[in-house]
Amino acid sequence: MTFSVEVNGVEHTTEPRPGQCLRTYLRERGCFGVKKGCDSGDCGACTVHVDGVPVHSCLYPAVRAGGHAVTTVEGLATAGELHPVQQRFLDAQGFQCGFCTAGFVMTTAALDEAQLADLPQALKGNLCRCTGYRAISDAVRGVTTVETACPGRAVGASVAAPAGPQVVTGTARYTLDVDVPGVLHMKLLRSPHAHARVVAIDTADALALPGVQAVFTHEDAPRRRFSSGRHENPADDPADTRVLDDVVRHVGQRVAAVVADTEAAAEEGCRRVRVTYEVRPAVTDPEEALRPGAPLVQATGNVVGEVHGEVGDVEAGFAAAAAVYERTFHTPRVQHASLETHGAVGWLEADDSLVVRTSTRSRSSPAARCATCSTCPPSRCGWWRAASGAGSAASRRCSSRTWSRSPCCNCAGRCAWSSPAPSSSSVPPRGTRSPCA
Amino acid sequence: MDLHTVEQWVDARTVDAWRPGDAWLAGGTALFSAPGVHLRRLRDLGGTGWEPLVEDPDGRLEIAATCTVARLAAHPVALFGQCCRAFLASFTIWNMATVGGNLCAALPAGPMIALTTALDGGCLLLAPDGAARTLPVTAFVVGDGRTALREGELLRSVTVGPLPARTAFRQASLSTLGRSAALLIGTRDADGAMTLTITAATPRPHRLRFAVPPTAGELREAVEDEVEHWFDDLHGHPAWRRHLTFRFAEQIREELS
Repeated sequence: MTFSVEVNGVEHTTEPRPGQCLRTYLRERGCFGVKKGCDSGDCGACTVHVDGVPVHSCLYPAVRAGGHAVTTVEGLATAGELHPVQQRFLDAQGFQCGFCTAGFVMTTAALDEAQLADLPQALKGNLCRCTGYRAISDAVRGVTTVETACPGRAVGASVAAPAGPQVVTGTARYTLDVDVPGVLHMKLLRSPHAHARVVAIDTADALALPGVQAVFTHEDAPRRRFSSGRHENPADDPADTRVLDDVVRHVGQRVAAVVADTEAAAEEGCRRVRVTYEVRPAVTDPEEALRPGAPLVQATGNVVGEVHGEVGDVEAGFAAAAAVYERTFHTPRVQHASLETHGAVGWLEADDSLVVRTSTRSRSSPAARCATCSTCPPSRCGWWRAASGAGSAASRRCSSRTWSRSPCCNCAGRCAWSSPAPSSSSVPPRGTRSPCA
Repeated sequence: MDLHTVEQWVDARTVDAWRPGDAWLAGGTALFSAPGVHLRRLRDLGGTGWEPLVEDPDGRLEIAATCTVARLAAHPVALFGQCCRAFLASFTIWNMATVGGNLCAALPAGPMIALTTALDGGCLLLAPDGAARTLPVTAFVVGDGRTALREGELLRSVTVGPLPARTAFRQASLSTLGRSAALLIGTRDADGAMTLTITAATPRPHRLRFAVPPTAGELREAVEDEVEHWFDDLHGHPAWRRHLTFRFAEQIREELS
């Protein structure tokens, strides 16, 4: 029996891979509005309709879609007219970065009256990390909040984000929403140890795997270090790591990068890299790290910097106070968990200049660091800032991507610069503006 | 997510020997939510055509393992809907996730485990050679993520009922609409017998039976005797789960007495 699935009214007969989910099948058919968020059924950014029923396409086996009709956000509008839900999300600006919007639109379009009366329950399968849901609630209920900037009264008007139409139709292009013919995929092998020296890495088995093009280790990486927490002024933060280091200082630190024709081969390649570690004493608590004799994270010591501050004469204030309440306060470390996965695409242009496409709110800083950690001169290093799938501090620095699950932009740049089969892109560098930029 | 190590997809109806790396595929919401690098072949139950819900003349309801949560949620019995809404997962997941999948995942907060335990469910298991056996749900789910399933064995269905005259439902989680930290269900039969099911607060489901409704003290003592371990993960401290259990148990006793 031959495979056939209808996607937005168009029949596709390409057989899915046996373990493929519908999300990647749709994206491979050009439906980039179907987003990869959590990839495990929690965030809803990949929501599509199968025969009108909303499902998470990251969990939906692609093979099962055979014989069915799939609608993605790209197929929701009819005859050039926005679907009413898309229009409502525009009218209420029910989005900020827009990465989750396609999923919200698809789920909302499938809600019945009873579900519309209980939005927290109905929309619990769709996560938004920007809006706090107020704007989304407005959108679902048909509230209009956008205003027209009339001459003479433009200042203060609540005007719509210019990228809104692209966001609600799934045509805004984020980092990985680009088809790069012949692109190679990189996966990272990560450290299982909090502190260890890499004594040896055997890459022979990985390199022997069909489809694997290259394996990078610390032996390939420049000796130069860069700051994984760099701010605008590079002197603010110490250079603390190499692209691939021979000492790992946290669980999950990248140890090797496998580049292959497919994600599957790159992942299998990672499993075949043999690493011999010399495990070192580790300290994972900041207060423990300050104690005398604590294991040193860096040879230069465990204190990177100190910040002290006071406003006014604090001592005098305490002395004059009727009561003094003194405590030490702790806050947990929180990651704001933007929905867009961390990743980057790199390629060499015809003139050998390196282009890295990533989600960041700053171009100059990552470009400077990429030049630091590859052999690419800064003048030949260009950064393409795609629409950003949620921001805050994590996307100001490309370094924040380095402890994420996906290859960081530094590695992508490094890979494109030194891979034996560098990827190239025919996609012209045309911009999409990020609503939250 | 893509399961990159899967090499083959086979219809479960085709007779084929069980191999290492095989997995039964029902809704896919568990299998496709984690990398599962041990997987080589998916045996798809999607084409089995098992009737989702079959009621027998005695009022017992056979729920096929492949019955979706959405299908169960549409059932008129109130307790079914209450348990479906206890899912952390949204209705968009219910459209794919199955009752059997929830039982086989064996998570302490699994509300299908709570439902089928409360209704004295019996699991029908089929071995690769066709041999069948049945186990009560309380013997099928034996711990956090652990079931009595043997290599290659399949959960075919779970049969519950007949439905009790009255039921009482209590559930709590750290966040509104969050994952259950305690999910208790009480039943009262027409003949006066009462049961109390404790899930989510414990690593595995527990069911207590009383010929007549117990006193507050008797109930407390029975729970203390029954539960050896209180579940501990980021969705709730064991002491809090214990507290909730005794509080809800007493509320249920009062409601059903």
